[in-house]
Amino acid sequence: MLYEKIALESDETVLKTVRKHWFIITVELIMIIFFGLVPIFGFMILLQLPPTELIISLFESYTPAIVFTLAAWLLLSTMAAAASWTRYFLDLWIITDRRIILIEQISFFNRRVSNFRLERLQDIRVTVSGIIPTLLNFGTVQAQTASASESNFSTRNLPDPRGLQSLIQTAMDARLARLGDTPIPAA
Amino acid sequence: MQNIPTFVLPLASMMTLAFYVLIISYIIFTTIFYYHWQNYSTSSSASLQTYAAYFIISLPLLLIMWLSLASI
Repeated sequence: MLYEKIALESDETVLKTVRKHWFIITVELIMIIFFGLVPIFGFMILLQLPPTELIISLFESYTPAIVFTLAAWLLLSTMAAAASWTRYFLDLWIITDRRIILIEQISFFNRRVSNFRLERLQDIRVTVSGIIPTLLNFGTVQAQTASASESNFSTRNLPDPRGLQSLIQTAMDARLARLGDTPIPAA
Repeated sequence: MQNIPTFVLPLASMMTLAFYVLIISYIIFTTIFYYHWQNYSTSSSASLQTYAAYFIISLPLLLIMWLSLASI
């Protein structure tokens, strides 16, 4: 499992695990299901038409081929849905009391894992733009670190972005307070 | 004018070829899919539910394909 691979520090606590909003995966899956069912609807419409000689001969001679093609199309749609669900579920933010672990599952063979320590975060910006994101409360969270600008990070379509911003801010403050209390070891 | 040689590929052969191509693609995809869920998932129960949903949908479809191929 993932947590064994990330190797959290001995007393590090996971505060929250965040995935993209459910609306995103729902829309993707509905689209895939719709395209998967299009040929079946096509054949159902064909069956509703007044039977012509062509339609009758098509169904009499090629029924196994039609069933085979429909099953193959549905199998490909299932594989597309599985890929989409994998991309959604394995793409996440893990917020601990020490860092933010950003895991981007772009495709099966494109995965990026980044770590951002809370004490290096400078600014967290939240953008909720559009009717659906406003109604369903999801948006973009951008964070700026003290490092080079390439190490800034942002993720779109995260649920409850203001809640997330406040959680990170609180964790950041707690981390800075703890680091302030800890004496710096002599070199 | 020179006649272009033509050949007819029987439907059954075409379907058999398509079936084998799909089976190979399915096996490769399933292996990659399983690897990702086994290694990168944060919850074993979510992985199990995903495997169950995937196989409950895909295996009957493969069976339907095989049965329609056998009935030609």
